Amino acid sequence: MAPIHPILTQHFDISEVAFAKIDKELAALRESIRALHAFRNTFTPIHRLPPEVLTRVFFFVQSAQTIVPYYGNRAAISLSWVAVTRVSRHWREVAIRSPSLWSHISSNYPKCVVQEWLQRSKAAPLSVDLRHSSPEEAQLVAASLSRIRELKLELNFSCWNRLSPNLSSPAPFLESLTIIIPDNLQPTSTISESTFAGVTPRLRNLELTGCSVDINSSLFADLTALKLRNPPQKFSATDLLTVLRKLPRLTSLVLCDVLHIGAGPVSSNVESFALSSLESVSIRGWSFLQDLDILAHLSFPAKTIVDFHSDTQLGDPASALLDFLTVHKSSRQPWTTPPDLHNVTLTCGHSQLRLYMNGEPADSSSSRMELLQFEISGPWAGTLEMSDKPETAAIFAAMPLSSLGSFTTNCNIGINTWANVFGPLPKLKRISAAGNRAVNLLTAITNDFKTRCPADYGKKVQNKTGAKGKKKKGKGGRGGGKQNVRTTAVASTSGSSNPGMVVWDPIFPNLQTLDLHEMMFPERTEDLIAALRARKMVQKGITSMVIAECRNMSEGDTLEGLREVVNRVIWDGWDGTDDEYDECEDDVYGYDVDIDMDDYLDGISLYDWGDTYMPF
Amino acid sequence: MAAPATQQIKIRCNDEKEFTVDRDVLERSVLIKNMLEDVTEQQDAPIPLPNVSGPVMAKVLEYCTHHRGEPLPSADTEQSQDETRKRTTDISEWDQKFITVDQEMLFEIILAANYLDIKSLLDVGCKTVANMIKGKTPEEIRKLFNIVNDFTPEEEAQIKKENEWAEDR
Repeated sequence: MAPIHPILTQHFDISEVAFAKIDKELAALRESIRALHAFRNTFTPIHRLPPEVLTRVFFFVQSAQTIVPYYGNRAAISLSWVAVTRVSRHWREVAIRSPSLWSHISSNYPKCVVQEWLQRSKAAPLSVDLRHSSPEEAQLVAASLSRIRELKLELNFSCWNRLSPNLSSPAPFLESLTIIIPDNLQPTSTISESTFAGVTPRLRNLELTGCSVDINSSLFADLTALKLRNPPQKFSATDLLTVLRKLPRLTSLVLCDVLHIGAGPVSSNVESFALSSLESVSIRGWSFLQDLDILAHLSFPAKTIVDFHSDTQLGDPASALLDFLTVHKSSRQPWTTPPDLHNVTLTCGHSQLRLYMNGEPADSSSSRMELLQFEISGPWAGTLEMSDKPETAAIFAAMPLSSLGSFTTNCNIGINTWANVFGPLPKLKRISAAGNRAVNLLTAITNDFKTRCPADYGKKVQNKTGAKGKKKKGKGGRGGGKQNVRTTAVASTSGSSNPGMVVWDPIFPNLQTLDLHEMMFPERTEDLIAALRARKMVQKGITSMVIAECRNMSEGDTLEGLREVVNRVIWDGWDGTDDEYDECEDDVYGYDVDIDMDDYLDGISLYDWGDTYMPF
Repeated sequence: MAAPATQQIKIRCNDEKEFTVDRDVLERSVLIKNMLEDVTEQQDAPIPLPNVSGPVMAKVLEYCTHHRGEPLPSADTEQSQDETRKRTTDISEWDQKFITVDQEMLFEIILAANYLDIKSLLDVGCKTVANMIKGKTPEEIRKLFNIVNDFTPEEEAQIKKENEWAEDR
């Protein structure tokens, strides 16, 4: 190759120098421009905010943009907030120098981010949320255990088995631990004693799903919230109580399928104890009697919200219900104040009994919660056989029914049960009964009139006051003449304070609304109409009656008689023959009987009857 | 029986503007509350507030008067920072109307709240700024606050690469 001419070399050297010089000047100018830009930024109003205030703003930007609904109850982290690090050098510096901004680690992040954020978070306490994470991420997190404050792990069985041996160092700052191993039936998914080296002095919130833990675990200390769901290795009721006894500061307790099904009751030497800080308790599962046993051994403040939901196909549901009610009563022992039972749902098999128990006790010293609305329906009640059995009486005797305002049923409740078991129910204003055996209610009302009003009573009154009753077509249940005497006598007793006068207080004395559905209406209704007339005359009348889809009902004497003694009768027009069904009056289905419990408790609950509002 | 008269406190701003305010209103400010607790004898001299101007103080007092009697937040700094993270950026209707001011005044109020140590007002201000920022690109944020890009092209390339993982997340 020919040598380069010296002149060319010299020229080349000159060019190199010139370029370098120019580039240097350009760089200096760019730096000057950048510096001028930075200097200009210092005059903006927002620049006056000190770094700690700007950091506070960034926290709010982060919290406004990071919570994204995830499977309904979990949150994922969005990273769009990091745009604040790209606004200016000053903003970037402030953000990166705030370790807490980088302290949320999630397996939603790309791998490189987890590493980067762990570095930026420096020594700040971490909040870690791992779902099906890679081994590398799990290792990184395990290496940071010493500063993790909140740890959520949602892992499959193999991920858990891979990760758990790495969780063997102390977690001195751990305050909240959630481990969810979905649908896990493997008995080996267990938190061992070596987990966190047994050192979690600040742990207050523990949630374990599909994961077993020994009752002697060091995790069970000083907790304020405990949620245990479906551990592969179930507890005995005695063991569970042993755990709970160690947690006197508990404010929230959730137990779901925690106990052995069919295991024995709590040992007789286990004493009841108080969880005086408990704000809510939810017990759900298949171990009905054992769950009851747990409740029976706990006492908690009056305002504790209790959610008890048990499914069982074992044992006798009637006995189980009785046990439940006994537990409810026993919770009013002197060593406790009563639980404020909100909407307890008790499920037996595939049927339900719902107890709506809302509202506060009448006064602070009152320990009696009253049932305001009672609905019993479905095959559960069929199982219970609500005919006139002693068990039925025992169950209802155990229920706080004296304030009951509404009763809904489609069950086979016997005549004697209606008449004698519920008691007077002085505040009951509405009964909704459905099904063929609902006729028992009408029979009970009729029998009450026929049997509880002395036959000679009317005569005495007739002698004093004269007959004022309206004679009705000779339709008296006991024969025309006698019926006249009775209605006259009854009419004169209302509110009577005359000496010697007997006041007839009919069954369910304040009943105003009667909804009858899908029942076989009695063929002979004279006695029923007489009873309703008598109630009306003593100011205890039924003011509204709905008759829908009832066989044997027809226009004529029955309907006419009912309309004479009941202010408002709504009949759907169906008499039991299918061809007329389609022509039923729409209005009977148009109303919406819906009680708003808030309104109800305020005493302004209304039944919406279209244009007519009737105070309940 | 008439309620006991509330003690009136006089304050003086950096523009010599003076306010006479009920003590419980002023005590929304932890700074002033501590000052008042340190003073054993009643004195007539106004409390000097050299970092706050009259117009800004008038807005601050409007806020304090509206929220008088409400419980004061915890003073634990670390805990409050954590709480900050968990709180939403929701602002009550009254606070929203109150803080609807120009940027200049907004930042003055934030600075005053920070100086006077009125955490709830500081949060209202910071949330308002956060709500202005959220959902915006860096360029949009710059435009909003009259900031210019002071990154060098090399820095910007590096930052963009670094933040690729944040796109669309």
